[in-house]
Amino acid sequence: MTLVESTEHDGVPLGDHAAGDVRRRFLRDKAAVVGLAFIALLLVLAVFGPWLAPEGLEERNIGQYRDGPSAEHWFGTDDVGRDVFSQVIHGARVSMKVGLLATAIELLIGVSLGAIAGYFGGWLDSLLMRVTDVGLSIPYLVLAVSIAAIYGRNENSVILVLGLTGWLGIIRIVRSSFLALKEREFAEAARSLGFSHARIIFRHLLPNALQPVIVYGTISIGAVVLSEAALSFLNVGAVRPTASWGLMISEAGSGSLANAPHMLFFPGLAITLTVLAFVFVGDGLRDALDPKLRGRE
Amino acid sequence: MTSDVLLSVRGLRTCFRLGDGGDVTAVDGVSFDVRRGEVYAIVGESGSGKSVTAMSIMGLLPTSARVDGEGVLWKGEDLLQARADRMRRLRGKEIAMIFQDPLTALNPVHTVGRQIGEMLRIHENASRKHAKARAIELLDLVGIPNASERADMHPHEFSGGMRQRAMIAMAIACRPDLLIADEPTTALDVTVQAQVFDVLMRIKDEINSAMILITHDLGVVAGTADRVMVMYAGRAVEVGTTDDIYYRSRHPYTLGLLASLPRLDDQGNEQLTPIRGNPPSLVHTPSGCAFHPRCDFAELDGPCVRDRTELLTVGPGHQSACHLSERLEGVTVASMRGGER
Repeated sequence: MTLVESTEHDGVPLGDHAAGDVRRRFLRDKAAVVGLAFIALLLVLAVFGPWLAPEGLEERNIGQYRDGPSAEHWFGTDDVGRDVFSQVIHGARVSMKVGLLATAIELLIGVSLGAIAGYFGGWLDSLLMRVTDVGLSIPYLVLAVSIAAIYGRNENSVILVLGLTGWLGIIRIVRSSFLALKEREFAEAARSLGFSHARIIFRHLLPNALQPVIVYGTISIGAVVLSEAALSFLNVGAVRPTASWGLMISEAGSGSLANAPHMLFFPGLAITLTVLAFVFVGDGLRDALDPKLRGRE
Repeated sequence: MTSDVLLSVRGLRTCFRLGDGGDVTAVDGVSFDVRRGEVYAIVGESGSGKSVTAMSIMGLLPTSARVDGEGVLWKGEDLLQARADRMRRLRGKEIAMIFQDPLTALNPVHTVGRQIGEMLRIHENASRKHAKARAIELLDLVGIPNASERADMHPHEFSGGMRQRAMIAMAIACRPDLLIADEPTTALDVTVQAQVFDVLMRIKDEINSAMILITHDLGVVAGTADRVMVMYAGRAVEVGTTDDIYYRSRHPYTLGLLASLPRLDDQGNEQLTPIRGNPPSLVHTPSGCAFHPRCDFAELDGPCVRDRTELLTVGPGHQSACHLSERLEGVTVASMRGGER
């Protein structure tokens, strides 16, 4: 992808030699570092979960239904005897898959369209902005139910729904960056030296517009994880045999709050910590990338 | 028309649409030729249309601008009729521009070497390695020390003068036949200006290209340009060789610009004489000669107020758009200053 190529060419994200400064400022932010460590743990669980979890995805402990936390089952068991601790670990894979893929779709659509709208302006800009307005007026739950009805209830439908609705926020951010950037003299210079529009957009302007996108994208992963849980809870998301935190809460049912709170608490905690981790890292990145704090110019 | 004419601009007219539906004519019927290897200076105040002229030639104006005229002939090809992809290939390869402010004309996120090399990669399909090597050569050529290390640095690590040299290196990377330098040294310190100018002139000779030098500073023109066009309110008011303009000017505006310049042979008793008033608004251009409200020679009951001016030949290759140009023969800056006191 052009985006990745252009930033990696110089070996430094954002083409900024001051990457060391950014890293140092980020590491000073304790919450962001803890968040990053938690995200790293989640990624490990997402990839290696099936080997790390004490019990398999469909493994049931006969006779141990809705048991509370114990030495044997740290997070207790659910109403068909599955180990909740193992289920939470298995659930990380769905959350990360949905979070990363849906955000990737969001960014791909939002960044491309926002760049085009801001750079070319005129009727194209008006058209894309009206499409965005229409998009924002469609409740995503309605879209979610529709897509689940067409493609079936699984996490791929969830990725599609969240990806197809999430870009509406990014397009505006990128558009406004491009509106300002295209007036900068280096954009004009690039045109005067014969660079094509595509090259100017993706290699010259986009790297200058990435900072808010990175921050927004990071926080968006957390938001997507939350939405996935919500959709699964509403039974338009993942279904068994997939383990999903939202689904686990949904299965716990309303009665469990009184007699088996651990079935609600642990998947809920996993969701909350995941969202918090991404928000912390996003905030940390925002501060670390803030040009006003940079030790240059 | 002789064969050594590289660029021939004929009756160029550029209008901008305004929000209220009106039009502003920024360039009004400008014609000039640039020959191979020469330096052609376009001089004027802000808003005189000199930069718009350059942008019109390059086809770089926003869509709110309408460019027409009899033609912009580049080696015989009319650029006003050229397709967008032809223009894109022409820019940078055959005609390259150098911008006023090197602080902002380089992309902050890419290394300087990469930005220079990119020219060769898009116009000459150079390999990444070859482009890098050429970029270092070019940086060396424009007088940047330690070029191979400097190539890996970002623009903010360069001083102003070095950035403008880097811009020059970018512009000459493909050995264009014509360089358009739009106020190339205005944003730099005076001492650095001279250095950058030297580099620019040396490079121009080395790659044997012609140059259009756009400036508001007649002092810059003196040592460098072969011919000069003075613009005022979107029109050419005087055209001639550099000597014509400096020593035999036949236009009150040119004389006014010269009178506002400090001179090296100044004995310390001469005052700089600014041109009174402000450049005219292009929306309400004065009647008759656009310069008459500011002109010391204008006859307010004569043709100056009544009739539009046309360029009239006042000498070989020397034209002036002044109703009173005949009367200005022999008028010099010194006599103007003397006459005012």
